[in-house]
Amino acid sequence: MEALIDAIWESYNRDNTLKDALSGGLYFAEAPGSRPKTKMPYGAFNIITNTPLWTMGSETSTRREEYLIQFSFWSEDNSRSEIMDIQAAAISCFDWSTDVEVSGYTVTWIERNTSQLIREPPDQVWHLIIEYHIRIQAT
Amino acid sequence: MKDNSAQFKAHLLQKRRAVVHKLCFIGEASAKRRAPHKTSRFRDSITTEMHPTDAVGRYGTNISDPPYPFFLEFGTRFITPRPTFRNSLEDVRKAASTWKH
Repeated sequence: MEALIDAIWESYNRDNTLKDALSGGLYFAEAPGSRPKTKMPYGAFNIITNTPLWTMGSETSTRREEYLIQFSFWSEDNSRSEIMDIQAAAISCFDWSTDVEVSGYTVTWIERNTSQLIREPPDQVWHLIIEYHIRIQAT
Repeated sequence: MKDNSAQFKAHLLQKRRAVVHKLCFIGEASAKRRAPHKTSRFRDSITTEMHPTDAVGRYGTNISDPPYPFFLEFGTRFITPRPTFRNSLEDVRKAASTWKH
């Protein structure tokens, strides 16, 4: 799990378009502080599920794991252009990416699952949710 | 020769509906187990319903005002996601892949 988190960080840090789009930064789990004062736009990602895919005799060398990762991005720009730019940058960075290198594993695929764009109360900021299915195999 | 294909199809549909219904119950039980609860309103609201004729079912919550199950599932700026249904789907998937008739 740690290796995948690191790999996502590295991918984000390499992608200048996504970094520029997220001027407030990208965080694991949540932005600093219990009521984040982080400057928007910013993002956070969470590991929702991590499922080992066991097959007979594959306990060690060919172990496969599947992750469901959720990216959340927030923007207070009332026009939707900023959040749409972030979406485009995130999709460009992660969709079927071959640049995500997970130490000790081969990335089989990174597949975008769903996207949702909502207005989040109380101040109706944009909240974009993108989910990815990631399958990795131990090398 | 008598054509009993209609009976056969009806029997198949009945079996498929039974499987879907059981899988929905597995999902419902898993979601109830995982649902964060203070007052149990959310947990108690999780139910299963079947399509009246097809082999289609769903489980979920009917709380929509305020839609706090959505905010628990996907998180907000102020809370991290506490996924209930997405984790329960893993249990459904596991049950479906090891289904014994």
